[in-house]
Amino acid sequence: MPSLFDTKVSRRAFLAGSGTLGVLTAFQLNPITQGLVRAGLAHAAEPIPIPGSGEWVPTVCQGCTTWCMKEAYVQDGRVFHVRGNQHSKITGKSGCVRQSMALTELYDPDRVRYPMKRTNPKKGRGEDPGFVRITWEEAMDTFAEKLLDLRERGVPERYMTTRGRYGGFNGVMLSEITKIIGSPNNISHSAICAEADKFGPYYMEGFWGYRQYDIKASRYQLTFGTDPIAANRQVSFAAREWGNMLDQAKVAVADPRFSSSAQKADEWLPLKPGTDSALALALAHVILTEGLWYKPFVGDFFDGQNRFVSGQTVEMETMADGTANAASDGESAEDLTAETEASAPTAVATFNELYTHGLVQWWNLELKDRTPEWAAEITDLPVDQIVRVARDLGAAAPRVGVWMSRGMHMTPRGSYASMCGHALVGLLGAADNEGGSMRFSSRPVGKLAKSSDYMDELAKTHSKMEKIDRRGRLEHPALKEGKSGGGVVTGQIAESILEEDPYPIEVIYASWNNFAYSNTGAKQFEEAFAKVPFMVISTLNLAETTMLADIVLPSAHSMFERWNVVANSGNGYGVVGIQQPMVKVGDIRQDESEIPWLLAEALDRKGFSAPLEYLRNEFKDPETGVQPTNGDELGLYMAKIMTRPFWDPESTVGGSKVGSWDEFRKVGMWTSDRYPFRSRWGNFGTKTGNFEFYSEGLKEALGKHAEKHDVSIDRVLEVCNYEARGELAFIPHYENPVRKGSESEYPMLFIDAKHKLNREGRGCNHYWYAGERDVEPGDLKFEDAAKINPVDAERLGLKTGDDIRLVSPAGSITCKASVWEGVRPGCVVKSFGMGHWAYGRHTSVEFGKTAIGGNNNELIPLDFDRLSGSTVFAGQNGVRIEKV
Amino acid sequence: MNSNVSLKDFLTPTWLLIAVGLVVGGAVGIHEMFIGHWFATNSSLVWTLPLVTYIFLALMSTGVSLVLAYGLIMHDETITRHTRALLIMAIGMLLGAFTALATELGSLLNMVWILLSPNPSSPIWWMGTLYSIELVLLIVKLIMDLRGRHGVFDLPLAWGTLIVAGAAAITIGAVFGTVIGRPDYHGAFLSVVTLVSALVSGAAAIVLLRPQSALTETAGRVFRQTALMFAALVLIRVVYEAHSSVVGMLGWASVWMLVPFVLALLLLQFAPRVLALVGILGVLWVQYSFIITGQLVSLGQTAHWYGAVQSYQPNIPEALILVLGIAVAAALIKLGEQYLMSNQRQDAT
Amino acid sequence: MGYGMVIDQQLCVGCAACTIACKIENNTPVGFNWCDKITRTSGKFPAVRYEYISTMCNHCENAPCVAGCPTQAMYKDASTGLTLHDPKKCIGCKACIVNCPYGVISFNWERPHQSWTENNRLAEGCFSPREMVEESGGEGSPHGNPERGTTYPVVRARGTVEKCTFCDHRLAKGLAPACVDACPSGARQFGDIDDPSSEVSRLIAKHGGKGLREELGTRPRVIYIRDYKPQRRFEPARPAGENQGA
Repeated sequence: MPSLFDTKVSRRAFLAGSGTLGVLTAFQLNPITQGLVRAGLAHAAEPIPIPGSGEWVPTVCQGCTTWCMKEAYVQDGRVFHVRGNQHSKITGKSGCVRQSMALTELYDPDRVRYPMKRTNPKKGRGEDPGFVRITWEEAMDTFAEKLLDLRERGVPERYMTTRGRYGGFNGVMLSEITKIIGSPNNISHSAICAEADKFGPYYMEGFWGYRQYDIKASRYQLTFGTDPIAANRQVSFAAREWGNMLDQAKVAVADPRFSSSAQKADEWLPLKPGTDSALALALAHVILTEGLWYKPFVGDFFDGQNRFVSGQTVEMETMADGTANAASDGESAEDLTAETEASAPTAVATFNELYTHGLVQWWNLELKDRTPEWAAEITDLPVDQIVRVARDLGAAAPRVGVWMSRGMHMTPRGSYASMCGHALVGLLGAADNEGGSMRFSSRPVGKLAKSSDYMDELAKTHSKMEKIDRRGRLEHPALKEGKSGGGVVTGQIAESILEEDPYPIEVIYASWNNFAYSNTGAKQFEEAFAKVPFMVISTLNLAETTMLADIVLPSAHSMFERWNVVANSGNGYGVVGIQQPMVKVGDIRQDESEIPWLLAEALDRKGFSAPLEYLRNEFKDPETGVQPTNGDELGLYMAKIMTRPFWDPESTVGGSKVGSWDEFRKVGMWTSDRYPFRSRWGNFGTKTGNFEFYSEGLKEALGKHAEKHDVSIDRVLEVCNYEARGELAFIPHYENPVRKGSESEYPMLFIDAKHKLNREGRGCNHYWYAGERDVEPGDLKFEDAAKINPVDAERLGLKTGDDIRLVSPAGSITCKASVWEGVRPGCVVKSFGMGHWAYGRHTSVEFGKTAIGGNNNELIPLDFDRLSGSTVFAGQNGVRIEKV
Repeated sequence: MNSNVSLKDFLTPTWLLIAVGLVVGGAVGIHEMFIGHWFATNSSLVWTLPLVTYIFLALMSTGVSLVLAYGLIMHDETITRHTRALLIMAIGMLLGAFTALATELGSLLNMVWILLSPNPSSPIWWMGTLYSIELVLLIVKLIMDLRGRHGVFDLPLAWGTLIVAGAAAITIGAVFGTVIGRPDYHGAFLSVVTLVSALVSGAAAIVLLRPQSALTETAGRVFRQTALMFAALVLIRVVYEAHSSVVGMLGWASVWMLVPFVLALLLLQFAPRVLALVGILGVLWVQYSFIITGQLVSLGQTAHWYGAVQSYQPNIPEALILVLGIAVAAALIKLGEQYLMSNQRQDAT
Repeated sequence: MGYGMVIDQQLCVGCAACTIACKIENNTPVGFNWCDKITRTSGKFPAVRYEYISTMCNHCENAPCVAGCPTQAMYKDASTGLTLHDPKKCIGCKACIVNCPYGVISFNWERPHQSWTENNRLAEGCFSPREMVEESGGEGSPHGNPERGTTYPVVRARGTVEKCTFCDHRLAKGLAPACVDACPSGARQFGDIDDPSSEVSRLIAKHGGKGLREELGTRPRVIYIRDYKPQRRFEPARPAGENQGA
C-alpha cells in the first residue's frame, strides 16, 4: 500500500507539480495524488516520454582496453542505455555489460562534486584528509604555484604526471605541458596493463601492440589465460561472434580457472599456474614432429621429408645431389639413377623457410626436447590432451586464433612466455591471415601539436633527464620497440620516490588512475604517495590514491561528459570515435581539455605564459581557424583536429566518409577499410622482414642494452632474473616459473582474475555490481570471495561463506571463502575489483579504513618481467589460507 | 446489553495481558502495515508466522462455528445453550485472524478489488469470500440471538454456517494444495488437514474457554474424535514422507507431532483445559510446519539470493503478530462476555 | 497472438547484460531482478561443467500466478498474450509468488529505492544519494526510467508484487524488450510464438526447444534452444586428485 508516511517530494516532482516541467509520472507525487492515481481516480502527469523517443548520442566506452564505439541513450536529460555504435563494423549494436555499468560511475552518489583541498597534512590509510571545498581557481592557482616553485628552484623534473584510463588528448596535459614545465616524467600505466603481451609479437612479428582476431573465419581458438567472452581484449566483438563461431570452430582454453570461455570450450586445460609456455612449446613440438605446420607460410624441408624427430637436431644444411629437389616430382627412382651418380653433392638449406626465420635454430636450441611428456610433467596436463590439441590446431591451420593474456606472460620471465605463445601463430600461418590474428588496422588520426617550440632552456635540459621509473637501467631494459628503456616501468615509481633515486618527486598530477590500488605491492605506493609533498588528482571518486592527495579535482566521466577521441581495432577494421559531453553531474571539468586549460591560465596569471600560448596557438578550430577561449572549446577543437582526416572533404584517407564535422559528430566514428590479409608477409617490420622464430630484433635490442651498460647479454639476463644464456635469449624457450613464497609456508597459488562486471578498478560502487557479483561463477553476491576447490576446502575445513585470511609474502587480506569445482586444486582464484578501503559506500566497511574483502594487489608481491617492464600479476604467487 | 460493566471489570490480570498484547502487537502491526518491514520474509519465503496466525485463528473460528452448527442441527442442548458464547468466540477468533492477515497483506486498501474484480479461479478469492460470508452469518446469528429472535431462520442459518465454514476450511487447504511446482504444496490432503485441524482446534478452544461441564464433555468428545483423525493424518504424512522419493521434499510432518494429540486423547478428562491448550499448540505446530516447509526450497533464480534451501525462524515482530491476533480475539471474546452475556454469566465459572 | 522469447544457449555468454539492462529499463531496486539467472556447476575437477540460464517471467500460457490471484491484478493480456500486473488491484497477498513455479515474482517489502532517499554523504565533497537523485533528476533513483511510466509505475508502491512484463511499454512502440536489445551475443529473439512463420517459431522448429519445468503444464513462453555447455567436450580421463599440487 502507499506509504502514508512518505513525504518525499523530489525537486523534479515539485517542478512537475508547479507546472514548469510536467514530464514525470504521478507515481512519485504526494501520497494523496498517489492514492488517487492508484485508485484510478487521477491520471499520471503528462506527457510521459514515449519509449524510444530519446536520442542515441555516439561516444566510446573505456571500461576495459577494448574501447568499443558506443551510442548512449539520452532521455529526459539523463543517460539510460548504452549500445554498440550501429555504424561499427566490429560490434554493430552489440555491447558487453560493462557499457551499462558505466552508468553506475556517472550517477554514483559518492562521486566528487567539486574541487577540494586537504587540510590534514598527515597522509596515510585511515587518516582523514580533511578535504574542504575550494574554487577551481584556487585549486589551479595552488597547483601552478607549486610548479613554478619547482622551476624557480631549478628542479622541474620533480614534477611527475601519472596516467590511467586516458583518451587521445592525454598527451597535452600529461606529456606536452609537463615538458614545457621541464619534467621528463609522464608516467603511464601501460606496464600494469599487459606490455608483455606485446613483447612476443614485436620481436617475432614486428609490431608492438595487441592483435585483432578474425573470429568469424576461425576454425580453432586457443587461449592462454585469456577469457575473450568475459574480459580482455575484445569482449563485445567476441561475445557477438563466439557462439556462432562454435558451429565451425573448436576452442581450447588453458587456464587454472574454469573461466567463461573455458565453460564453453571443447578443451579445458587447467594447467599449473605459470607453466603456459611449456604447453605452448609442447604444442609446437607436436606440430613440427607430425608435420602439421602451415607450409605456405613457414615453408618445408627441401625434399619434403620431415626431419623434426623428438630429441634429434636438424642440420642447417644437407648435402644433397642435384636431383634431390626433383625427388618429389613423382618420377621413378630408376630413371634418375644415372643423373644422381653423375652430379656431385652440394650443400642446400635443409629447410626452406618462406615467410619465417630461424625455425631450425629454434628446433635445435629448444624445441626438440619439448615433448608432450615433458610438458605434461610440468603443466600437470594429460599427454593425450596436449597431443590432441596440437593435432586439431594443425588441422585448423591457418585459421587459428592464439590469445595470450596476463596469466601467461604478466609473470617474472613473461617476455619469453609471450614469445612461446606467439610462436604458434607463426607455425600455424595464422599471422596476418584469415581466421587468424592481425596487427591493428591503421587509424590515421590527425596529430596534436607537440610543445617543443614552447620549451625554454630549463625545460629543454631537464625534460631530457632520466625518468623516475629508472627505465633503461641495467635491471630495467623495458625493451619496447627495440629500444633500451623504450617502455615504461610503472611499478618502479614507488620505490624510486621512497629512495629519491634518481631524484625526489615533489609534485604529482595523477589523471584517472588509482596507483595505490592498481599496482601490486599497493602498500608501497601508499607510502610513496604519502611522502610526496603535493599531489593533485583528477578523479571520479575518493579512491585510495585520492585519499593521499592534496588537491582533488572532480573529473568528467570519459564516456558521457567530455570531448575526446579514442581509437581501436577489431574484426579487421580500425575505428576512431569521439566521446562527447551529453550530461554533466556536479562541478566537474573535462580532464584532458579543461584541466590543462585551467592550469595554463593559472600559470599565465602567475607570469608563465608558455603553456597557454601553446594551447591557444596550436589548437585552433580547423574549420574556422579561431583560437580556443576556454577548455571546452579546446576539447572540441582537439576532437576536430584529430578526426579531421575522416570528415574533411579534402582528406584522402580511406574508409568510411562523411562530409562535415557536424555529420561526423552524429555518426560518431570512422571505420577503416577491411584489413588486407597477408599484406605483411615478408614485410613484417622485423630485422629480416619475416616472422622470426630466432629473433634478430631481440638479439640487437639486448645487445644494445648490454653495450649501453658495458656488460654481456648473459649478464643482462642474469641481473634481470632470466635463466636463458647464449642464443636461447633470442628464441621462444621455457623458463622455470619464479615461485613467490616457499611451498611449505605458502602452499597455495594465487590467481588474480578479471570480473565480468568490472570497469577495470571502477564500476564496483553500486548494488547492480554487488548484487550481480555472482555472475562470475563461484563468486558470491555482495561479497568478495576467494574461490577454492572442494578438495582443498575439505582439507582446510572451509565452507562457502567462511571468513578467511589470505597471506602472502607481500601482505594479507581478508575475504570470504567460496568452494567451487572450477578451480584447479592447490589454487586460490579471486576476482579483482573489490577490496577498496576508499572508493564508495558499496565497497568499504568503513570508508577510508576498511574494505569489503581485500585488494588482490596487496597480496601480489611487486616484481617485474624486466625485458618488457611489465609488473607481475600472475605466475606462481604463493599464498596461505587462514581461517578467521 | 449489560450496562453494569464498570471500569473495575477491566482491571484484571487477563485484561492486563490482553492490553499488553494489543499495544505491543498492534504497534508492530501498524509499523508493518504503514511504515517499514520487520518480518523475516523475502521474495522466496513470503508467508511466515503472521500468515500462519491468520490460518490458525481462522480455522479455530471455523471449528467453533462447526461445533455450534452441529449442535443447532442436531439439537444438542449441551451446545445450543452456549450459542451466544460460541458465536462470540467464533467472531472474536475470526476478527483476530483478520487482524493478523491485515498486517501481512501488502496493500490492504486495495482489498476493494476483491469485490470489483473477482477471480473465481483463485482459492484465495474463495477463502476471502467464504470467510466474509461466514463473518456476516455469525454476526447475523449473534444479533438475532441478542434480540431473542429464534425461529424459522435458525436451521437454515445453522446449515449455512456449517456449509460455509466447512467450505472455508477446505478452501484454505486449497490455497496451498493447488500450488504446483513447490515441494509439499500439492493435493487434496492439505484440505483434509485444514478441515480436521479446524475441528480439533475449535473443539479444544471451546474446552479451554468454556470449561462448563456439559459443554466440556460434548466439545471434549468432538475434540477426542477429531484429534484422533488428525493424529492419523499426521501419521499418514509421516509414513508417506518416510517412503517418498520426491526430489526436494523436505517433509513437514514429524512423529513428535503425535505427542500432543495422544496426550490430550488420553488425559483430556483429567486436566481438560491444560490438555486442550496442548492440543491447540499441536495444531499450530502442524499448520506452521506445512506452511513454512512448502516455501523453504528456493525456486529458480531465488536460489542465488537466498540459498537453495532456506531455514526459517520467526523473529520477535512476527511472534508479536501471533500475540496480536490472539489478543484481538481474546479482547473481543472478553468484551462480548462482559457486555453481551450478563444474563448468562452464571453459566461461566 | 502470444509474445514469446527464444534464448539460444549456445550464443549466450553468461554476461548478465540482460539483467543490468532490465534493471535500467525497469528501475528494479536492490535485492531482486526481473531478469535474472539460474547457474549450475556440475561434475568434478577437471571434468567440470557450468551452465547459465537467463530467467525472467515465462509469460506462461497457463499461468499459475494468474489463476491464483484473487483480484485479477495478475492477468493475461488478451491481445498480446503477456502476463501483466496491475499494481492498483494488487492486495499484496503474494499468492502469485507462491504459485509461480519459477521464482520470478518479487515483492516490495519496503518502499523501493529507499537507499536513494538517504541524505548522508560518504565524505565531504560527495553527493548524498538524495542529492544525486536531485542533481540527475531521476524518479526514485538516477536510473528511474520515465519511459517505464507509460504503462507501469516507475517506482512501485510498497506492498505490491512486480515482475517482468516483457517490456510491454516498449512493445507498444514497436521496440524489443530491453534485455533483447542489450544481449551482446544475439542470443535472445523475440516475437509471436503462436505464429509459425515468426523468427522465434522458426528457431524452435529448427533446433527444438524447451521451456523451464514444462512438465508442470504451465506452457512457458520463454524457450531455450541449443546448449550453453559445449556439446563435444573432451574430458581428461585422469581422475582429479592425482599430481594436483600446485
